[in-house]
Amino acid sequence: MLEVPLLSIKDLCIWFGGGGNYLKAVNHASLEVGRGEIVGLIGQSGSGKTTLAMGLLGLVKGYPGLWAGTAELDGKNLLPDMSRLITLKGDNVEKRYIPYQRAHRRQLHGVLGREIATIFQEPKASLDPFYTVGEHMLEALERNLDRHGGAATGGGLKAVGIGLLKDVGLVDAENLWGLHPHEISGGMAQRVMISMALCAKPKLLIADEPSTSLDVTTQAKLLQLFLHLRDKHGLSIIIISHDIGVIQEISSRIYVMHRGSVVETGASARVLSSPKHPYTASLLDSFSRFGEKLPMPPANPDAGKGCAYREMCAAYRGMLTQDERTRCEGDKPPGQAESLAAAAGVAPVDWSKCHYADKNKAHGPGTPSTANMDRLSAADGSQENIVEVRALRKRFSQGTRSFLALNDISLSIPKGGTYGLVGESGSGKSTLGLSLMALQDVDGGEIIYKGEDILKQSKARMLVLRREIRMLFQHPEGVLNSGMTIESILAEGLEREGRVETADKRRRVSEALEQVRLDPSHGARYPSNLSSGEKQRATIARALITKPAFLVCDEPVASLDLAIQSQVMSLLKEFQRHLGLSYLFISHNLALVKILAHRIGVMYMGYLVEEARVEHFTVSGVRHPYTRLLLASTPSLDPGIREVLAAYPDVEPVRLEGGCPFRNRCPVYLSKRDSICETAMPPLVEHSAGARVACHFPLG
Amino acid sequence: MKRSAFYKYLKKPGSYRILAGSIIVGLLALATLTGGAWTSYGPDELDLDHLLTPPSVGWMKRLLATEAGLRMQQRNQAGGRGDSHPRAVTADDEDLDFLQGDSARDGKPAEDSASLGGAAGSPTDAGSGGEGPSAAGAATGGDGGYGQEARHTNKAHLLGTDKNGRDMMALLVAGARNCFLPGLVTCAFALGLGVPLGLFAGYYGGRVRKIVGTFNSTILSLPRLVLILVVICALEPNVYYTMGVLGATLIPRVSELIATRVRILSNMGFILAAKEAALSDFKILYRHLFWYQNRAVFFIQFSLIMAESILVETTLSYLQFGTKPPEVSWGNIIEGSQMSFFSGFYWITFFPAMAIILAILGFFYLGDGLNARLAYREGR
Repeated sequence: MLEVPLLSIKDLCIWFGGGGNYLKAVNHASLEVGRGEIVGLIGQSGSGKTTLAMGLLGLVKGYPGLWAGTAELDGKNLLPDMSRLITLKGDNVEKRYIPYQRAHRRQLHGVLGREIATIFQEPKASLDPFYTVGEHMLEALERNLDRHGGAATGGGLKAVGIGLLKDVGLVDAENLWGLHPHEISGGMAQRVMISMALCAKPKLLIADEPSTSLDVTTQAKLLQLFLHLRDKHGLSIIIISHDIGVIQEISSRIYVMHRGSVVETGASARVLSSPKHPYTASLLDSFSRFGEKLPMPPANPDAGKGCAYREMCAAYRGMLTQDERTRCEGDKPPGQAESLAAAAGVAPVDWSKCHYADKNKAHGPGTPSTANMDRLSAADGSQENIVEVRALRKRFSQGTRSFLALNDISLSIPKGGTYGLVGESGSGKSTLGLSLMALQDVDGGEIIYKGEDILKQSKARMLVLRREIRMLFQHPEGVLNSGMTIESILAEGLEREGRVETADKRRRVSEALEQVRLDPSHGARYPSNLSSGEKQRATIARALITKPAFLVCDEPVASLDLAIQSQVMSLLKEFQRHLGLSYLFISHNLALVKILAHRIGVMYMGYLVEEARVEHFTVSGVRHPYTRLLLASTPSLDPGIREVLAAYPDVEPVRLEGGCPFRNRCPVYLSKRDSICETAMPPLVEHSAGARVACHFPLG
Repeated sequence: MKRSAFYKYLKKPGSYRILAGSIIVGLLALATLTGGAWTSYGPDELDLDHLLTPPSVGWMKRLLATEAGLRMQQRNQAGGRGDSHPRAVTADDEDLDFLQGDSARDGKPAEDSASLGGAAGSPTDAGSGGEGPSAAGAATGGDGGYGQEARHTNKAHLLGTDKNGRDMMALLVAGARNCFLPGLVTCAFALGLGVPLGLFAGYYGGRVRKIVGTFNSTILSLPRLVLILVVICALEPNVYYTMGVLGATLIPRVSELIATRVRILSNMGFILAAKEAALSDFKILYRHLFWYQNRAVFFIQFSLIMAESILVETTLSYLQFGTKPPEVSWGNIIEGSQMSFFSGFYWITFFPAMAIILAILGFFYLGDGLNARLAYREGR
């Protein structure tokens, strides 16, 4: 039990909306954060995790809402008492009179940005584009002069600011001081945000998906930074994420949320190793048994009789006796509020919204099933390649500066198989994908699709080829024209087939929608009426309607929730098996690529640095230091990986001219300092059967 | 209770504005198309029995006519032709110039003035009765014995008549045509050229954008009023030429607006996706960029330009550069009657002015409402 928690939220409900139509975003949630503790909040999007943490600071869209319950920071109340202003009617709420907005602001005065600091998901969007980093820092410092006693003058403040920037790992703080947000990388911007937050010397830091938009390697360094801050400043941190890997790596306790309610809480090791709630188990499953069909959690757990999660509950299906099952069917398990009342106001530390929490240990983290392995058999025997890329070059110029986005890339994509392309942002992987679609002109090289060079085809031939080669894009919102119905978007693919009868068109549209498990009635909807998962499935249907043979998937799941990612991946896998599709699967996430790919290529700054069969991609099996860094950066349960990560310097990726582009981040170069790394780019040479690496001193 | 389709329609955003706007614009279009087919009088028909007749609608009179105005109006009419001040109609009575000539031609000045006396008595009667001045006029002066005027006497002048005995309603309807059609000419020029230029400039960028930009800045550098005057002098003072020039000067505004939006949209995924789906440039431009993304802009620009051109047309006509009498425009009605406004003959100025305001408001409402509706449908 925590002695005196720093932040204690008890029985909090938050509603949003207006005009008598209120939506309950947080449902009787309680949360405690101890001093110097990192607490993780996890759940799908829409689970209310952001609202719970940010809502009480008035920092979410739709503020002001209505609330009931208490939140105290160090004994200081954060929420004005609303109980006399609203009427609770069961689950619903009725507003009487609302003068609370100013009361809330008064209450938060001296807390928001002082005791509690926040950082957000999109660091670059959170910084003012017209302010330099230094001006941002000065602004934050001037608000908190009293926390920096003797440094009231301008020069002194700057010194303090630079000290704070260095504290978060920005060694080059002096140069950074005068730069604007567009001149720095996302990871640096996030560190600037953190050091701005630290200007106030807060007690609590709320980080809302701090690493979601960052590269894996940057994310790994950022998580280490959070641990460092906790140890050095005794900072308490609430970290909100949908990524179990992030949460388990740094947080000591976890709250799992679903549809506004906390369904389970406990020490992170316990929750993640032996979850006591079926929803937690399903979250873990979507992480470990990724790419399989998994039961979906109930859309509205408060509806109906009995425990809404029993359909997906392994204990209900297997272990419980008949009597116990009857209880699951008849009664709702007690929520956090009831448990709180039963424990006389002391929030239970290890708790799950389940009748049989103590018994319900059936769900361990699922073992990776063998379903992932069967892909190897499909493309193993086939030596035939559907696409061959030979010496592809592309140089981008911006004014006087120019850089190579693609530097003599050669690779071949097996027929009926998947080639995974991995790299950080700026590595040229998307440029390669667009070149394959002939949507990006290149400076040289060949792209052979079934014996024809795509780059040399006539326009008429390309129209035919475009039906066979289709593409999936990263952001389904952007791909679907917001003014068109799904049906008309899908039907566009058929236009090039000449005249298609309306009835035939409708049939093929609904066929394609059924293929991706969308109801054909969705065809009449507009994209804004679909969820993000449905939108991405609609874009898959959009590609499938022309019966393609080859799909370029450019980060197709990067913007989706984990559970939905899993669905989409299983769809892709299924289509490969049944329709014999070949994929070029582009992603920044190596773990994701490993699920689907037969071969993997790793790109860095326009170079293909390593290429091998998927089995080679283990921390010990890879040869290039960069690939090992990528593998070690993926959040995972293995503690040994942190040691691997520690060997790599904490520097930003830059485009180095001449020599190996990776050398500034390479532990081998930094220890050897060999001049060949500075002068010559290592060629991509085959070191064993089917495995190539571009390094002067390959590992292991 | 089952809710009707109309109820559902009203629930959507912008529906009231669309409704109000389309009623007004619909009336304008109707007036333009049918001309004076449904008015009792034609715009060039002169009801000599009823010069300067106030509106016959009782409530409107009570609403609009001030006490002082009514007194003044009565005094003016009585002063000219009333029984208490018997005075022969003479040539120096400017208001009756035309009548003078007409009656002189007929050669029956005495009888003519007698029948006028009857008509002049009518406004006061109509004020209480609301039955209409023509009825009163028919009762007192119907025995005047003019064949061709007698047929008018049992028809009311809903909005009164002007100093020449022309029916105000007929004038407004005729004026609507001369506002609406020139407005369409303006839109045809501004949107017909501006939208494609904007689409090309925004989508292709580079050299196309530069050419369109140069074209736009050239047009913008020419002063609009001077350009209009030059065209009028060079060709002939026709309102359609004027409006064509106005439309041409609005091309930059439309094309820059569209180009800016298209340039942002061109970077979005669906354009790449459309290219990936092997759509032709025309379809990408027309369907994706124009129809599904920019039609709201199109409609709101259409309504703004229509409103603007109505304003310009009436202004020019008022300044006597536009529609010239005997052609009728709301502007030149106001111009011809402005001096009588303060003499109590409010209706000759008031109704055309209201027509201008309503027409402009109507177009604004329509464009605004359509914009709201389309934005709602696109889910933005």
